[in-house]
Amino acid sequence: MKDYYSITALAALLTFSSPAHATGGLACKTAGDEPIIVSLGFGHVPSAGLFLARLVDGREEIAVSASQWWLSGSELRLALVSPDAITEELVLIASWNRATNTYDGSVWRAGRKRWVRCREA
Amino acid sequence: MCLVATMIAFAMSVSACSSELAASDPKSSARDLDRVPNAVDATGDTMLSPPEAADGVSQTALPPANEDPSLSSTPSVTTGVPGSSIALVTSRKPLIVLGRQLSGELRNANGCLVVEIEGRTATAVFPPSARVRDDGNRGQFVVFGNREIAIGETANIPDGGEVAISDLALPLPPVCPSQLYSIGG
Repeated sequence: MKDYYSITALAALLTFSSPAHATGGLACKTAGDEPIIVSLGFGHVPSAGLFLARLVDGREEIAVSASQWWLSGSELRLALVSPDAITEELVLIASWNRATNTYDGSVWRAGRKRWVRCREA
Repeated sequence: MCLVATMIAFAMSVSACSSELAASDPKSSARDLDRVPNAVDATGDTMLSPPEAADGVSQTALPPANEDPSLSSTPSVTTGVPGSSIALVTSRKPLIVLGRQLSGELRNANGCLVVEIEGRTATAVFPPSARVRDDGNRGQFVVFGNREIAIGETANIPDGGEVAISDLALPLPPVCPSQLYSIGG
């Protein structure tokens, strides 16, 4: 019986000691029928950085890599480029909106500027 | 037979002890260092430049600070400034940047050039052409393109943001923080 409790306790410990909240995500979306959607995955520990950046324009997924980014309590900035790092695919600049708990700002893609809102995902 | 084996063992012990003594003798160590051809000399020239330096970039492979240059195999990127041992980390190629400008400070942290900005300390990553210029009494500057930023003073840090480690020209020196902040594209 004692062994049973030990194993159960160990299982519970292993379950709840997993790195919950070690990462976080943001989903950014423009308005309109064919939105631009940017999905981002950030590590929450210092230096973990951005480990995921995905861009969907309308119904097309665009292969990108993140050239440069900045996420702070007040500001989100992101530059996405083509995988060969030659073409600028998207620039996103947004500020924290206390009223909505979102980052609101603009994206620039293909010479066009659009409003964007980023929510925690 | 047993006597011969004992004598051989004794001879080996004496030999090993004398080697250890030689290694721990400071004078002997100094003599050994004097013979190291890659030790930093007065000109700041150290090892052979890596192939990336062929584009006119003044890059010289130096080991992390506080280590014997002859023992380290980890390359870093730095400049050929006389007397300089700052590891200047550069990107493989110019980055598309965010145009973000903030007040910050570059400083030499244990031989690594870091940037302090918005309360964070990160390894400063510069464009491939960056180099350190020693301006005597005026101090040291990082020069890239037509810009220069003073080291050790609050300055305007242009075009900054985090970047991926895969964008670095060479592996990150162990003395440098793993968080990376690209400056100037």
